[in-house]
This record gives sequence, C-alpha cells and structure tokens, in this order.
Amino acid sequence: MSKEIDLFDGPGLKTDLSPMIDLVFLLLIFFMVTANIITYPKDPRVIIPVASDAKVPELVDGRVVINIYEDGTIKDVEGRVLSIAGLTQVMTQAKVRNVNARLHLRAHKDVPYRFIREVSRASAEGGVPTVIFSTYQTSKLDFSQDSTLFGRSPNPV
Amino acid sequence: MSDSDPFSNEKEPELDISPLIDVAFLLLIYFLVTTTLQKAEADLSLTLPGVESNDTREVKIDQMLIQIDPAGAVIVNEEVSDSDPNDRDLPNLTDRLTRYAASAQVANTEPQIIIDCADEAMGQRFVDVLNVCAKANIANVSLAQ
Repeated sequence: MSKEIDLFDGPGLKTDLSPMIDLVFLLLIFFMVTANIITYPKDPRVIIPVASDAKVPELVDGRVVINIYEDGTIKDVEGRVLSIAGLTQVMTQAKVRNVNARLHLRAHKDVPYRFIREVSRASAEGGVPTVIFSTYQTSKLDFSQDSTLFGRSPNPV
Repeated sequence: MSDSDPFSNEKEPELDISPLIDVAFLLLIYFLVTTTLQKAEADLSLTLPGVESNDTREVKIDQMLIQIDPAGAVIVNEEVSDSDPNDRDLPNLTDRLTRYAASAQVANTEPQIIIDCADEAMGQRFVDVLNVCAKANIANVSLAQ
C-alpha cells in the first residue's frame, strides 16, 4: 500500500526578499539621480526652436523668463499678458532688483520674428541688453506637448 | 544537570524587513508618478548693442551682414547662401562663417555679425542663424534695426 506524499509538508515556505529589495533600491536610486530640479516654470504650449550648439545652463540666476506664444502673445512666467510698454517696465524693475538681470526668451519656433525683435528691443530699453534664447539641443524627440513618462507618447518632430 | 545558559534554547534573532520594503516601494511609486520626462532647455545668448563698455582697447571690427528673407532664405552680403528653409544646418553659411572667423583671427580683427531678419520670418530660422554663429565661435552678434 502506497503512502501519500505531501510535497508541501514540512517547515513553512519562505520567500527570499533580498533580490527584490536590491531591485527596488536600484530603481529608487535611478529616479533620484535622474530627477531634475525644475528651476523655472516651462509652459509646454511654447514649442521652442532647436539649436544643436546651444549650451545647457547651470545657473539661472537673474533671469526674467518671458514666453512668446505662436500667436504673438507675450506672457511672463505667472501667465500675465504683457504689452511692450509693460515689458519695458518689468525689465526696468528687474534691473533695479538685480544688476545682472537677463531676458530669458522662450519664443515659439513658429512665431514671426517681429515679435522677437520687439521684445528684445523692449528689454534693451528697460536696461537689460542680454537676451538668452531658450532652445532644445536636439529635435529627435519632442516632449514639449506636455507628455509624461506614463502618459502620452512622445511626438517625433 | 540542566544547562545554565538561558539563551541556549532560543531561536536565532531575525530582522523583519517588511516595513523597509514598504517604505522603499512607497518612495519608488512617488518618483514614478511625479516624474515628468522633459527635455532640458539650452541657451543661445545675444547681447544687444548700445551698452557702454569699460573696455578701452582699440578693436578693429570686421562686419558681415546676414539677411533672412520672409521665406527663410539666408543671404550673406547680398548673395544667397542657403535657400532651403527646411535645412537647419545651413551648410554654406557654416562654412563661410568658419572661414570668416579664422581670417578675422589671422588679421587680428573682431568678427561681427549683423542679422537683418524679415518681420515675417519664423523664429526657428533666426535661431538657426544664431546657432551657426555659435558654432563658428562668433559671439559678437547684433540685430539690424
């Protein structure tokens, strides 16, 4: 007469969790290292031009960020619409607050040049002659359409 | 005779690592959810003229005029250099500016670019020309009125 063998008989089964912890920590460290601190708000509606020889800045001190939308609307980082006269005033105030103030221009790639010229001129009239044009270094993937890691897929340009 | 060691019958102590895994998972989920994939933005600088400088050195300036027409064609000293508006690399202009910068260095002059861009030209085209100036290491760039 055969005897039934219980394969699960014996001491309680245990799972070795150490590899899982290793994996979780590796992922955690990856995300912590690759995370960028957002230094200034970037409006995703402004699709900035591509310039392969532009340099990624390390310091953004003293910058006055101005967005120019595709239709020529000029807004500051807080979303306030600015006229040319208003922009001159903003730049004058920025110059008083910080002598190293610079205009950080986020102009849409398809905006007519006259808007760029008017904004640059208004900045110079306000006492801030240095204009920094915001660009992407590559056009391979365009994440500017508010795409997120687990949201919409990136749109190739 | 009984064993006098009070710990002889106890099990080996174990560390419960489950809360550690919980915390690590929570942190991981936080980073996964809050991460936004965004390309880094880079700078192209331009200093507009009309600023007084403390530099009193006498500098010989060699100027070059670059015009951009409404269709995006690039004209150098009244001669069409790159006419394809979809070509961002501007190979002819790049070649010309590289030679211009090298000859200015030999002649001990300061290369200066004046960009005269048509009002209706796209912002991208203007940045293309600025980018070529940066590629040729020409920092002295100004805009035509």
